[in-house]
Amino acid sequence: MAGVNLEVRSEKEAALCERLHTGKHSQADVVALRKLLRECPHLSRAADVCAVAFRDAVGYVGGDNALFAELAEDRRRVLRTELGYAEALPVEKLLIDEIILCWLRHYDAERRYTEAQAGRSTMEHCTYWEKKVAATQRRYLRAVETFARVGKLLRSVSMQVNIAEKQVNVAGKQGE
Amino acid sequence: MAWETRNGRAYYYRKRRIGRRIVSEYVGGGSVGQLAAEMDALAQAQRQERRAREQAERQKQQELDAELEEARAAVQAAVAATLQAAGFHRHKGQWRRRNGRS
Repeated sequence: MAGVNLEVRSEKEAALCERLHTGKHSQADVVALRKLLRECPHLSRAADVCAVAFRDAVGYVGGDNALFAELAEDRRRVLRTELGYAEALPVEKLLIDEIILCWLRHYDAERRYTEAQAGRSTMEHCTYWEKKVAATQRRYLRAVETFARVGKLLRSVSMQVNIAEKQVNVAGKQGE
Repeated sequence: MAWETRNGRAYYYRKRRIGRRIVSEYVGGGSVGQLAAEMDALAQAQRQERRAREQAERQKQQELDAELEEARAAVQAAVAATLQAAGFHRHKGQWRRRNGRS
């Protein structure tokens, strides 16, 4: 779980996370963490692999640039809104996050390819980035296609979804 | 490496590859040769540094790709579980509704 940063609310929780991060924790700490995650479901979201991968990618692309980090976060919010994150099914939310992650990787690859071409990079490096741009583009398109396909399939059937122990019946029409 | 001794004096030569042949190109002796040798050494060091930097960049990309692949696999597993629960099955890589089931 390296790279996971929980949004803690108190010093006690911060100390607990620090012990768990560094491996200096007891069994009681693990039990306390489970209780914390149950009480605050938003914390468990931080452990989502997509969120972790997004944070790492933003850190790598922007480095210590706080402006880039904020712009990336803003772009993420805009993309989520455009793709209907608020009304999406849980599995669709995961797919939207995957699309955003793929978008960031593609954006980074395009930028580095342009830099490699403009700068004094080796031919090997330019070729590497050319292939990388093609690969990230394919991955991005595949993520978008999967999102569209899964949404269409799930909306074509009546579904019962349990959210926070409440039963929600999602009835869709064929071809919607 | 590119210093050659002719008649007891040292001269600096640059080596170039033309196809399968290595061609020796005369630069000069004394201080001219020394300056050219130092400039060549500096250029070589810069090339090595650039290669090392590019190598490190590609290595970091591999790590990020592995992380992205892990995320993708987790999402795909969730998608597959959801679709199966909704009554779909996979046929030749394509998700299809089971016959006679709503």
